[in-house]
Amino acid sequence: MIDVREALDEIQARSADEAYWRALERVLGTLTARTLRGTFRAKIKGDGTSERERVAQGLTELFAS
Amino acid sequence: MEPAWSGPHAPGHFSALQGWQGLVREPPVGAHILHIYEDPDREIEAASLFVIEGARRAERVCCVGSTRELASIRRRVEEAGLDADRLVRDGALALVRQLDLNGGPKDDDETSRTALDRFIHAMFRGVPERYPSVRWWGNRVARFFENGRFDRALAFEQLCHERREVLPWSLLCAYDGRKLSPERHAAAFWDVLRNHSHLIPAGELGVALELFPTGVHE
Repeated sequence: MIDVREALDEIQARSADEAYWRALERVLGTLTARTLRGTFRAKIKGDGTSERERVAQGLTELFAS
Repeated sequence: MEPAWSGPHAPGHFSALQGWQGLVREPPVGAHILHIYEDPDREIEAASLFVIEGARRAERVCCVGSTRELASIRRRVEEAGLDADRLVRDGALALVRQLDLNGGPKDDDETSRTALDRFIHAMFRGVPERYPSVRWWGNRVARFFENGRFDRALAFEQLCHERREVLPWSLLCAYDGRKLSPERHAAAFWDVLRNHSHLIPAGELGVALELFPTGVHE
């Protein structure tokens, strides 16, 4: 029997990330948001840091009070 | 407009989320605004609002851009009921194609410390006796960034950013978002952001955001 739970979890996580980025693109514009995504990848490194955590950390530094 | 946010960064968590027009119309002294546009009409719309409001407040206004952009701004100034010819003649409005107002060196030298000093000296003539402050709009430096000349662009932005605290001016820098690619520009983009005080992104919500409200961390 094939265990699909892990694959489903991954798809769900990706969908959540995509929804998150689509929301960000509405605020920042598509190209700015995509460039920022790359900026955070370059700037915030670290083993075990998820994409979501990296973005949250970057946005907090950039915008949040 | 209805926000589409969910998760940890709902709009309330952003600092100073407001419409971009208010910031451009009445920027705080020392504001160094980064405007990223994806629609050229939006670039001119923001620049014109910035220029027209500055002229109405009797501030000295200087625009550095291409011939086409300067012509568009000038036309909008006229449409707003201001006499662009008179403003230019009186020195209240400068529309120039390069930073050196006296027609000096172009391109590489344009963003040098010497060129900037000369430019600032010319721009602040009559301040504060005739003009309370200066507004500067430009997109020339963005061309360096778009073309991968990061050192040139960042050196200029850094110089302006350092001086914003000692000079009575506000700056609006326009960058063409269509020229930004994550692969090429992402790494240097952080340095552009950290050398500005506000961001007007190209997003459909039309907001302006304060950058680094709690200070820049290296």
